[in-house]
Amino acid sequence: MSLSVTHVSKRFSSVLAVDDVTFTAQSGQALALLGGNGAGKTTTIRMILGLFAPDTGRIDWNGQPLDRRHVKIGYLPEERGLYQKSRIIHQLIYFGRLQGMSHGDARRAVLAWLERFGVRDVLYRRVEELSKGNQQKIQLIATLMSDPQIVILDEPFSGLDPVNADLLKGILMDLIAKGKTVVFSSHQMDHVESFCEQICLLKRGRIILQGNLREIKRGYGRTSLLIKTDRDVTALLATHSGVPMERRANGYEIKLDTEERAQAILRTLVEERVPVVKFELSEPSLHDIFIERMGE
Amino acid sequence: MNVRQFLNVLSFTYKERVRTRAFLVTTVLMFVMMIIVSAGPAILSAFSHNSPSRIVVVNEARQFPLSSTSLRTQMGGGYIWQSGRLPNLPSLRNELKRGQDNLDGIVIIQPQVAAAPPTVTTIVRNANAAFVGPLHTYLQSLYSLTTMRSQGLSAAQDALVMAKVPMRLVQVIPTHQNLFLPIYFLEMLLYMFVLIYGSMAMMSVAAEKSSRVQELLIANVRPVTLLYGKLVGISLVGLTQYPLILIAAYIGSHLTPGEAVAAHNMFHGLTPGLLSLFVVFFLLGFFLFAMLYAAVGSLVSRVEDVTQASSPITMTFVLSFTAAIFALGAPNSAWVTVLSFIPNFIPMLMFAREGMTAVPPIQLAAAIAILACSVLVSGYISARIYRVGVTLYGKRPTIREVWALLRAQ
Repeated sequence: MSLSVTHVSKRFSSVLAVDDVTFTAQSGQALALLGGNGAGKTTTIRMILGLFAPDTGRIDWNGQPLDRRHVKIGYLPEERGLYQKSRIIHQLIYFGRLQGMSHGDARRAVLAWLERFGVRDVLYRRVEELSKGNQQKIQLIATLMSDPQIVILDEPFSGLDPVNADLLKGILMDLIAKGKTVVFSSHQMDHVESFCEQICLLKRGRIILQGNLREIKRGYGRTSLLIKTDRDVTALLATHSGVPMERRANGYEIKLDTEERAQAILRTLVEERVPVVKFELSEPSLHDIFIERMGE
Repeated sequence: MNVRQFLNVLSFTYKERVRTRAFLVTTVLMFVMMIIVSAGPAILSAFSHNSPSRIVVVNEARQFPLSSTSLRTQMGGGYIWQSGRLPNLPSLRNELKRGQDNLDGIVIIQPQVAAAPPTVTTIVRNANAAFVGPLHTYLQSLYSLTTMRSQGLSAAQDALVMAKVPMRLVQVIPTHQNLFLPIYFLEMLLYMFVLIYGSMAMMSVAAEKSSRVQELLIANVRPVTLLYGKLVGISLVGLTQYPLILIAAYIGSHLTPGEAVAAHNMFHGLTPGLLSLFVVFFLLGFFLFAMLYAAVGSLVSRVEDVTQASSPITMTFVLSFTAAIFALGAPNSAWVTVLSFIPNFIPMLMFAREGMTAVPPIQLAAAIAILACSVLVSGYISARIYRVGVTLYGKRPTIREVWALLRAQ
């Protein structure tokens, strides 16, 4: 099963918000929709949700035009919102019913999810009485309670402490394992890297990079070098001109133009008898790729 | 529109409103106030029956035969008439100022030179004291009578001259002046209901938008379904309060026993037809204004902005209420008739006309039809604005920008 967006464009008066965007999200995989503010991510998501009709192009589910009456989509908006004065149970059942659940099913799902998140006691509390992290959990329950085929999460980790972030990670892994189609939009690249096989990088409405994350990284080659040593080697590394270098708390981070240059640096370090604790040559992180491509 | 979704939105909106403490408190307050207001006239009249007002007459004109007995027979039993003396006037005035022993007025009759009639000075506590008019008429006829006697007319001739001319006043279109108070009250209620529930709809839309619950809702429900479900839900909250208010009014006006009930029952004469018409005008008026309010609510990003943005709509409704209050006094005037066919004036003015006079059924039906059509038109426009508005954040869009977006749809 797959969600495909094909040559989709959307214009708002003079602004072309989405310009000929094409991607496919497979079930059992997570696709990351990346981009800076105003890149067109939210507009793309809203078109998938059916809030806006695309000006051109099509959005399909399993080769058929996506029909919201038959396909359930769980959506976690970037801007979180719940009824502040309402009791948790009342509004979650309401959201469940709007997603097509019966009253009984919705109630059972709410109880099971609250149990899973370890917040069973908030059932009859009002949202305004909850901590930000717990509100976030309630919002996630509203997204996932109807067991949707497609899950769209806009910045799901914001506001969660590390413990709850791990809890959410487990839940998302679970969704992917269950064969859900997950579309994920985030600025936190480390989270994206740990989930998403496919990425789609948008800039001013256009796709500037897309594909399998591993392959994209491989295409860049191993050009990210980390050296850890107790000695100050700034001057030494400077001899390898043309190599931008950053000194960090845990050592030196160096962006190389070619993999071969790493060998030359290693030779210099050995010749100078520098006690090296760590010498690691790796592919660039998604963060680095993001910064590089967005800056172009 | 998905009926199941519509009912979900409707029932959630209704329950969330009715569950709040604010709803409970306002409903109880309204109930109690209604009892007090409707029992008011009966309580007041019972109170005034127990202690009739006292009026002191200082008669210095010897040729003017005036006694407490004749005053009582001529003026009815509602007052105690006493005679006083001129030297006591300062102390009497003080008593009157303080309202001591129910003293409500002092009447001073002083002779003038030669054949001129005596002067009558009436000093009162309240400018609208009920005894003044009849007393002046009585004194005038008493003067005429004594003058005729002194001119040598016989008792039979007196009677002929003083005989009352039978006069009748017939209105071509009858007005129900006895219904003035209850209709006034219902107009107030109609005004309050439309404003309270209309702005409740607006605030609810604005709050959903600013708290971003909207994002979650419109991902699952079509905006039109959401808007209509919400408005119908809120109108049902109003319809829940209405019968309670009527029950309170009924209890209040039957609280005092005896003949006071019939004479002072404020709601005596209100027909079930009129009370049902109230529901019709409340619902249509509510939907007309709530649709517009909701459209405004969907355009603002912050709840604080909503009152200011909606003030033009509120103004037109306040205007219609003001017009209705004048219309109660002159329900048959041409301007009332004309205004009672203009959509935003219809609920208040047509109800005022129907309450105070006889409106031809065809006019009533036409007004309701015009209003219903306006509701449909405003519902259509508002739904389109709402659909665009709920996805717009940031600066409040100008009318031109909204128009451009509507055309782009």
